Amino acid sequence: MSVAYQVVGKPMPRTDAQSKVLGQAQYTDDLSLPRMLFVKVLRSPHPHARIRAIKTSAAQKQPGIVAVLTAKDIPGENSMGPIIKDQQILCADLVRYAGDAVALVAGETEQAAEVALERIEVDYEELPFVFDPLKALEPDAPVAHEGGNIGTHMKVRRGDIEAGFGQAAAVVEARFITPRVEHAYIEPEVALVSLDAQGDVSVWSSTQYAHLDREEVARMLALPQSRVRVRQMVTGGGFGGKLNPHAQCYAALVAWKTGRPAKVHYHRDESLIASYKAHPYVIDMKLGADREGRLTAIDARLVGNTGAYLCQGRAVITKSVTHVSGVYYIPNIKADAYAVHTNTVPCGAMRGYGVPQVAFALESLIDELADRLGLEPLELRMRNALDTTLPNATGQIMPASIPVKEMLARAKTSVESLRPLLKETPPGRKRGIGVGCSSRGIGSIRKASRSTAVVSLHPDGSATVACGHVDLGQGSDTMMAQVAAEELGLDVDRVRVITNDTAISPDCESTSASRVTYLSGNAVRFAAAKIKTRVLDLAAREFDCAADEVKMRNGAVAHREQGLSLAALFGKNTMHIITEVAEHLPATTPPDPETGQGKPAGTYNFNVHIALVEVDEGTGKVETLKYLAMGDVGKMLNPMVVEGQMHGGMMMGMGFALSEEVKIDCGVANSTFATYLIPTACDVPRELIVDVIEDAEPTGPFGAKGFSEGSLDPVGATMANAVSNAIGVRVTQLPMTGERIHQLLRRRGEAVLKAVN
Amino acid sequence: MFCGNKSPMLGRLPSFDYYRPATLDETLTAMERLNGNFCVLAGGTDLLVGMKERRGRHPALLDIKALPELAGIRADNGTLCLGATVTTRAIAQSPLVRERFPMLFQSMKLLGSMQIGNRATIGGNLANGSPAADGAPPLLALGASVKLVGKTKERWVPLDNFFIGPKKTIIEGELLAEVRIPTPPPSGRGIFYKLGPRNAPEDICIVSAAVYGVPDGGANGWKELRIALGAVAPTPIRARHAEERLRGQPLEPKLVEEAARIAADRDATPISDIRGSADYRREMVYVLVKRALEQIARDYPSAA
Ligand SMILES: Cc1cc2nc3c(=O)[nH]c(=O)nc-3n(C[C@H](O)[C@H](O)[C@H](O)COP(=O)(O)OP(=O)(O)OC[C@H]3O[C@@H](n4cnc5c(N)ncnc54)[C@H](O)[C@@H]3O)c2cc1C
Repeated sequence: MSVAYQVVGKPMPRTDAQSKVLGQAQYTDDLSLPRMLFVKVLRSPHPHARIRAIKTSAAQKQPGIVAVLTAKDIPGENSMGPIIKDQQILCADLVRYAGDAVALVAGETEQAAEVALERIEVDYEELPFVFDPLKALEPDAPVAHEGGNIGTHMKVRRGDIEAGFGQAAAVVEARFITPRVEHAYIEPEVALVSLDAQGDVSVWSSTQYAHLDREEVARMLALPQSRVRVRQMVTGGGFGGKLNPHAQCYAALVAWKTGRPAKVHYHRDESLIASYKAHPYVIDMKLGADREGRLTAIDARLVGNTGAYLCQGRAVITKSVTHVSGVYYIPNIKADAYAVHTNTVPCGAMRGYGVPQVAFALESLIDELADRLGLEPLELRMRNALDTTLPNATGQIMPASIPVKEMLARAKTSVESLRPLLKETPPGRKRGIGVGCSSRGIGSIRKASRSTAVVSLHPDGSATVACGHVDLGQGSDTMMAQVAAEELGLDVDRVRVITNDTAISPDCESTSASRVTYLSGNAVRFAAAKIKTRVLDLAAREFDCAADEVKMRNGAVAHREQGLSLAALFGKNTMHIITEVAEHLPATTPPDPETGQGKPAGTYNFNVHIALVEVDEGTGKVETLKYLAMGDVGKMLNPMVVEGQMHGGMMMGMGFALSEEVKIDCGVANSTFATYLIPTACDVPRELIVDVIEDAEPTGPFGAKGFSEGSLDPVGATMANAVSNAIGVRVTQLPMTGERIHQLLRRRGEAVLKAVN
Repeated sequence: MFCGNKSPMLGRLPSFDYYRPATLDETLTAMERLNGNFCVLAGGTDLLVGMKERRGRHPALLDIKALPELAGIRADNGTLCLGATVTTRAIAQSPLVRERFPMLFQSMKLLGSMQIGNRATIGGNLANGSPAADGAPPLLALGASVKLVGKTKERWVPLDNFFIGPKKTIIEGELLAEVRIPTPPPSGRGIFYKLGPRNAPEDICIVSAAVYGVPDGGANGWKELRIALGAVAPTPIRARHAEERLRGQPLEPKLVEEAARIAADRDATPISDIRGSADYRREMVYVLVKRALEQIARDYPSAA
């Protein structure tokens, strides 16, 4: 049954668009308070060292310096981390990466604080360190983290792996390497904190999870959470990188100790050096298929370099390993994933969350297998694609909204239409076409998670929605307004959404894991639906009809020729505003730690991407001529937002594929955007096409589900397959810089992949 | 592995004295008075970034952007005169440059983003002494000279003698006032190639190459053939060995190949850094020089 919606599914500009374009949006750094102090962080220059002593007296005496603080000044718990709290807010005894925080300086001006920073004397005893995760796994490696260098080991076990490879007619295997990646949000970390007359703490911050900021600041200050209020200001992107409130804690500690407002804002280099990144992986993967091209077995070892702290390593690793079989049914699976500690900048959440890395390995091997079996790459994919009857690596079967085969069929047509362009390759160039697929469980995989929303309908026919997942610029506030407006029969501009204030907005967990549309969207819809039910019941009594005969539109109710404004209806029933609360907690079962089996996601998103690339044979440089991103989103709540997210995800993936790589010399070596290379407008594919598949998710709000990470997931894989197709050599390492491709071109002819039989 | 010797972070711009003289004379007087304790500030796109990275301290900055003597693009009997403070974007937008010096036009167009190009000056690009300066290879290949002005003397130096090491030039307490490019013969043809990691023009090159040739009109090929390279030696360089190999001969494919190889193996002495390995750079010299020579040969089939 198709329902005609008034608001949902219509393209509309984001509610924050105009203020941003006009430069009126208020970011945290736009705020300042009287008597505000500027805080600077002293960071370790050593990758691993014991702190013997810290002398602060010289710094303290500098002009304009109000406080110099170290670990011993922290009144509560000295630990932080988005999930696992294994990093000290200020290191007390050990620093574990070059960039670990050691002391804070609070000055009247930023310059004064910066000068004083250089006067703090730290006596370090340097310790042996390790950067390479494979070396960190060796028996006599330096210990980067107490408890050993293996931070996590997660497993998937399905079927009988030996038997699976026994049935295989072709087996391929290779080692794949992916880079450490920076989120590169346009706004670096920033927080402002002040105390009120009762000593309660107010935080204004750039964050992906205001309630976590509150929890962490309270824990550090040994305060009840009720005495901390956090307001997320307009936030210039997060992409997973703003889930650890270090800046908030530093500002809060200074405010608490001095009684004065305090601001921390990182400059770009500090953000690049100190904040967590996306995990680089070393993946050993082996894949087999029988003569008919049915996948029989996969064996994988994933080693994620989680850096000095685990923070979110366990969750990222869990996501990777549970997604090891991608969009395919593979009956026999053995996968082991490790988060390994090294003395490098920690790694945690980033858009993709461990999926782009495994997609790159798996999709590359799928292409290799197709080659061995003499099948078209898309044909091999089609023969193994998941549908409503087949389980993924966790044993979960998705009963609906799994349009993989339809997408692959469409992809076939697209690839055919690109083929003639291969004949037009200019001299000195090589062209290739590549396909990449991905699947992604929406929401947190390692545990169930819930969203809560409070919706109020005002007598004037406007509504307020309060729910606590913050909007980072991706458009979720706009979509929440659309959901509430649709349910309540209002225009979108009559709905205000407040997601950014812990005093108003109930906890919805973090804005991450592509979860907001699906989880919070449902919570908002359910709360609005409860209001609607109450209003219709009241009106039905008034009009003496059945509730389903009443229409509710634009702040009024009507039945045939009878009509009443909401104000009148509420007034007659001793009501002024109707408020309802609802939550959404999908029925999930987290993966079993020994087998990875469970039902970890409420719904899944699927992507099929296609690229036509041209490689310069001389320089190895890759140019993307055409890129087609096909995404499955359930039903679109707002096509403009969908398109924007897909463009953004695609370009972020392009960075992962072609140019982005955080390098370590001691700490982060490329600490500016002149050497850490994100794609620019000049690097956008010459033609970029977004194709949305709408196959309603029955459990989603108006059929919608999450997809924002998914638009990035298969880009590395797709580009690697296209480039491999162009140059005739398998690419096994990202990013595909000109230099790397040039090396492969030189070694063309050597078999990179060794077949097993 | 050498670790822990430096603070991991850049800082804010340190404080400094700032002077903005109005005339050349005033500037030279100030330079004398400051007795070496100053740094010339043009667009600041190299200098200020370096100061944030704490590369050297500069207690006083002498802003030369107000000096009328250093401004403007002129043609003097066909010779192109670029004032030191002309921005790279102004050069890229000059119809004169575009028509008569397409190789220079090409390099200026590729120097930084529009925002950078609106600040960056040609004088700063050269005086900064970076081996990767995009302005250097075309100007070397075109046989440019620079005018250096001191309080008491003034000298013209061929660009060939201007660069002496990484971040080192022949300037001694002087001002670079002007860049001059001799009138090219109508048949002269130049090619500039810049290889960066992305397509973004703001990338500092991994390797750049400029080739400039004047056909001799006869069967023997080229009266003049100059090759200049960027980012593959301590300074921007001329590829003299390769030039020598090509002298007086038609650009036949085998010769082109050989000369490009010589440029890569003998002229270039690259290092490995965050932008690329020495090995890759060498290979790219080969690729870019070969392409540029082939392009020139294609443009003048009679001379090839
Ligand atoms: C984001 C970014 C991208 C860039 N991209 C490129 C690029 O693609 N290609 C490229 O070549 N460069 C690039 N650069 C470097 C820089 O922009 C250029 O080298 C520019 O031409 C420098 O000119 P300026 O006027 O800004 O020099 P300044 O920074 O003002 O000066 C540079 C140096 O030269 C000295 N100096 C300047 N003018 C004179 C003078 N007249 N006499 C004596 N000494 C002088 C100064 O004292 C200083 O030591 C980039 C820089 C940035 C920040």
